[in-house]
Amino acid sequence: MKKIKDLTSNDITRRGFLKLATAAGGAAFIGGGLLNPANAGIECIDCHKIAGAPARKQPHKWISTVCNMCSGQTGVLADVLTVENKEIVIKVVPELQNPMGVANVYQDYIENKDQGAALCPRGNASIMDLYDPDRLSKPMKRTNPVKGKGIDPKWEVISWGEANEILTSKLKTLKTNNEEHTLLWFGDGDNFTHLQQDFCNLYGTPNFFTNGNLYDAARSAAFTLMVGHERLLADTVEAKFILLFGTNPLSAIKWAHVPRTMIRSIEHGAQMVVVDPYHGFTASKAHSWIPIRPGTDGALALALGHVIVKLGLYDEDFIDKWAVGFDDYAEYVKGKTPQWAESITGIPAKTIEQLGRELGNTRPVAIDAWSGITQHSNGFQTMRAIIALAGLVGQIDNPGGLIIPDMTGSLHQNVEYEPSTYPRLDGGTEKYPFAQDSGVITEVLNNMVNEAGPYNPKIGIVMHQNLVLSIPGTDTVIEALKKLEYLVVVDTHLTETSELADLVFPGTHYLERTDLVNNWTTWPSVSLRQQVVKPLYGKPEYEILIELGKQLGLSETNGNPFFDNLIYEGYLDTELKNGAPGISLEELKELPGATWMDTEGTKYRKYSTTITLPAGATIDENGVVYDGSQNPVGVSIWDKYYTGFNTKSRKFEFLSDLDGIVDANGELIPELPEYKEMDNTPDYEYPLYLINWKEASHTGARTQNNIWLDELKHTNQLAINPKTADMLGIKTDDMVWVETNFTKAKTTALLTDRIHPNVVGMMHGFGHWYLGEVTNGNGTNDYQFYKTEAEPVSGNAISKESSVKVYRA
Amino acid sequence: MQNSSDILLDSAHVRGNLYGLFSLVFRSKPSVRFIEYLKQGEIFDALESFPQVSDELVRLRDLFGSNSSQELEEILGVAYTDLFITPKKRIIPYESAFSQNKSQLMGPAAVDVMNYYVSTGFNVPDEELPDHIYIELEFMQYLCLGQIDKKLGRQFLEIEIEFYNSHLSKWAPELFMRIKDSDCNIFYRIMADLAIQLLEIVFEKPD
Repeated sequence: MKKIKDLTSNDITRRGFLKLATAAGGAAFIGGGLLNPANAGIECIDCHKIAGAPARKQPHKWISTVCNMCSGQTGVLADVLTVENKEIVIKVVPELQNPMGVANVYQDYIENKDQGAALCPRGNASIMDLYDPDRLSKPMKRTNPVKGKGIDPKWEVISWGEANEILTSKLKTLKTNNEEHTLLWFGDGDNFTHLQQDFCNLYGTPNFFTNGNLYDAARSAAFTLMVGHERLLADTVEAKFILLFGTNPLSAIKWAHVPRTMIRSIEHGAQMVVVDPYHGFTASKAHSWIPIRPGTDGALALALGHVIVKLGLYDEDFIDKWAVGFDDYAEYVKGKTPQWAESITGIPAKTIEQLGRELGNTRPVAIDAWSGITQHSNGFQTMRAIIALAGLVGQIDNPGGLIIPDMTGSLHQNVEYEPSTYPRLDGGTEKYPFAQDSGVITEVLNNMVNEAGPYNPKIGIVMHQNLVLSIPGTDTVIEALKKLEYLVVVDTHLTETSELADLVFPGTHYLERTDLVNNWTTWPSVSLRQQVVKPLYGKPEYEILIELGKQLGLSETNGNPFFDNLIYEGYLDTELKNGAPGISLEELKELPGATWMDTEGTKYRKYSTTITLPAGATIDENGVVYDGSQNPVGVSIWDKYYTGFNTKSRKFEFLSDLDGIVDANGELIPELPEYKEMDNTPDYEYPLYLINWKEASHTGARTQNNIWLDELKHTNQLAINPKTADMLGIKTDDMVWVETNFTKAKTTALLTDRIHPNVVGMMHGFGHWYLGEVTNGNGTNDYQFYKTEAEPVSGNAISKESSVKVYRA
Repeated sequence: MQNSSDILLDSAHVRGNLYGLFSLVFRSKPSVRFIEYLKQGEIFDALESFPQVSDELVRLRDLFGSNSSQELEEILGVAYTDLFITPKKRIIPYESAFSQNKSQLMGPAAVDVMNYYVSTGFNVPDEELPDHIYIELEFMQYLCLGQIDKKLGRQFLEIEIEFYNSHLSKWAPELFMRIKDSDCNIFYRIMADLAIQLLEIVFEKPD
């Protein structure tokens, strides 16, 4: 134990400190005094018991909220310790009263919620993100005008006031010059999205983008075309057969309930077959893993269709009544034999034949696909072929099949604004006819690099997105961002994208902010992500945005100064009251799990709901029913009227009337789910497919600095089949080059039977150089090996299509 | 005759001023006002009494002499940011991140320092975490200020010693050593060096 000694005794150093102390006293006036003025008076000391009285700890409180370690958004309970005025989150556990960790079908939820809810590793590691010492704590501005990878921005901390002033001033300048359209906004799709959208609309830029088009835009597009809803959800718990293409839901977890429902299904006797070039964790639980050449799943799906049609195993009732184009489809797949598919996919014809029989003879069947399909240049057509299978066996919106979710939840309020007269930088749906609302980010970035867009954006704002490591084609992304005159990034950490920014703001963690979440359940449910602790740094982004809107004087066309009196909780309150819940925010907070649910639960075969003909209704030659305002509202079948599907024909579409629409390459979009080969396939010089995947340990390129998650997965390696490795003289842990026709980089090899011999691959998200002390320098950035391209119908980023050669370094 | 406690109480203002100086230095980038005060020279003149920094003092005087206050605001602002904010060279200025094996903010150390703050009436600014080095140093300054009170002075002295032993001693010397040994701006290296010496002198082990 150290004792205190007198500074005023006589030696050189002590005399030096005396002088220094005197000089320091003279500095006392600086910044209001050396002391926090609140502590300057002795009076306050008298008022308190001193020496050993512990601070008042209040009992723990548990607060329901919604995780956002990824966009799965599982319900969680946060355990909060309050010490005087400081609240600390001790841990995060699953919330039973929120269905997202239990089930996505209402009845399944009711029956199983008492068994407990699930939370993936990332959710469990939430507090290590919240309390990561590498979090950005203060706004900073760049002082080095030179930008680039590995070039020090020479950040200087500035005050929040100065940061807000800079941003306001920049946006005011654009407005003054009538250049509002040159503001480019990258927001994420989970957080205060509507407010960001309103801001951009009222400001006058059409260039608001979110990240959905990086993942499953092709899936959404295909479902929208054929079924009339963008995101069907597999009801695996009721299924007797589960067929998965390019998706690994037990490990690349998006929704925490899915592993549970799938395992329950298997325990109840369901068969599961996984089609994937890589044997992930889901395949390890499957009855059968079918390794396939990447990007050829469409051929397999069509061949399965061939088998089912040939053997008459399709659902005649469903097809006769609820589908169009079956005859054309059947004619098309006549030539798509298992032998034909074998030559393309590498899967033996016998296996295809057998799988087709099993699929055709089993009900119910859940067939699903995700990024392993969509992130290819033929993703849209491949998805159509897979969805056609589901229609073939009549498994649309029935128990155990693919459910059309009823997502009526909170309602984005109508804001009156003058749409910008300038086109969007991605060409919108004029170029990508089935693009999502999230846009086509890859198109924007390519246009920036090549200066090929309708105009050049000047200011970029990036909210909680690490574009540099999350979009394929790292060098292109960097070049694009460097083209901006001014880049602002808001995020919890400095990232590779922040490295290129001019101004950075500390972003909030999900435990520090509030939002509404329309849950991805098959029945309506809405949860509240409520602020559990005050932000460690600064304030929630929506408060910054509201202040910015006020400073800019943004108003609706009716003159309402939209942001002037806006409080975000009031904004959310309106969305709730106007939406399906019809309750206030305070009422939602009081509900169990802060979750509202429609107790009517999951409804099936909604397309077969009968309707009464509305006044002034007309029916066209195809049986589509229109209301008096010419809106399609139903379908006439055998003299009865039904809701039908939300497609052009109001039926499930094997064949779609596309009026000669062309894709972004100017090519006609086929009316049928025809097979389309990938654009980039291996050749003699680059003979291997390169793929990537995600696992439960991390969210994309976001969480690698989380110390708990880093323990689970510290780095990535290049998975290579032993037969292939043997030919190349490569052993596990050898340093190898991975080379494309435009770049190369080193990584280490991992030999495994779990990958197709023609394929190499690695887990996505590593290779950081600017995220944090825990992860910088670990692993290899896989997205550097891909180009920044989009699937031409939906705009889905092509993130899994590259051809490489691999050799020892 | 004064006993040792009396001497320590009488000299508390000296310690307090010094804790306060280092709290100010490591709290945020220097303001223009503080830079101008430094330029006036009283602080640098006092540093002449420290032979171990004399070489660096020459360079420090040169830095301040050859740059305007605005230029120094940017130079030292960047230096401070590099030192404490960006992860590249970053030295984490929070006790929780030092005192636990797994680096995490708002750990048990943060809760415990709050115990001290609350029980002594010390107000923690909202905009920073309670175990930031500048707040712990400011708390030490506050405790020194409290020692002028005739009734409570001795208790504040005891708390000053106890807080150092329970908290600052466990991480502050290592923090300052890392700053001193880093390649950061000379201003921060000198200040860290002096901070180490101050703590060593004030809290020497008993003879």
